[in-house]
Amino acid sequence: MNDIEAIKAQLEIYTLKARHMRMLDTKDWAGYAELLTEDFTLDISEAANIPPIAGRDAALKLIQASIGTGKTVHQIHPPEFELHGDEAHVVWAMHDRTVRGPGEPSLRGYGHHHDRWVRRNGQWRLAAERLTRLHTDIISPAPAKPTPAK
Amino acid sequence: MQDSEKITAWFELCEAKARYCRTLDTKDWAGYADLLTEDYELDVSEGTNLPIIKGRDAALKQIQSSILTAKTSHQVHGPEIEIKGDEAKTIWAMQDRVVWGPERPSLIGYGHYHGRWVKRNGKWKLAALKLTRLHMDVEPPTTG
Repeated sequence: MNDIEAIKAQLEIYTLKARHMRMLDTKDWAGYAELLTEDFTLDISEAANIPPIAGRDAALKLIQASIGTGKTVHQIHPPEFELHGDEAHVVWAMHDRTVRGPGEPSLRGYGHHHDRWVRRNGQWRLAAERLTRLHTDIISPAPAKPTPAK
Repeated sequence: MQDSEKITAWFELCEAKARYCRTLDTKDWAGYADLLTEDYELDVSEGTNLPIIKGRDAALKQIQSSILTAKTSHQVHGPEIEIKGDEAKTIWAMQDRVVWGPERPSLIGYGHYHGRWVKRNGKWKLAALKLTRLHMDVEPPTTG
């Protein structure tokens, strides 16, 4: 793989990762699923205390259930790329904000996505993602409006 | 378009976007205007209910009036970039912090910038920008 090919692959994956986050935050589940391999594995065991999930459909179901009607924001920061032909290992620094609803605490999280991307028929797809956490801020819901004094 | 030209365009666009945010936040209005085409279209209708603003001068006026006395910080994250010759479509995840002063609540906003860029005389210029919002945190005034 020459330099130009390596840079091109990195930029392709960069765009797909940004898209992956946007599909998640806008709940465009068809667009989200399109970026994953069928045998996609999701490992959020560190944060959620559940075993890794095998298969795109099962992973999607879990993500949808855990976000529900909440609002999420995922931001990605400088990646570390390791390219091996049609496979890439990427670590992204990540910041996320999750707001579930009034009266419920919201989250501001910091951590990393450890991704494995594979190229099949010229298209990069996400084959595995593992989330590690550095810190999570739990933010109390805004206090209810004080009742006027009698 | 060759691979190396696309890669160069990618980095040029990232730099132009970074400059866009910096000139906005430092209120370098000449530098900011220099990044826009004359027929620039700004769509901030989501969240503000304003109609689409047509023309660089009108857009500038709108932006200046909304943040002139505020401190702002715009940060962009993970771009999606599609380049076709002298035109490019970009989507940047964005976060903005807007602080007006001690009397008013401040904001931390999250969303996406959807941009259309054109290359004129060797420089990328922003021809259209649309802001979509994911969430806004309203923070109480810190003092006062």
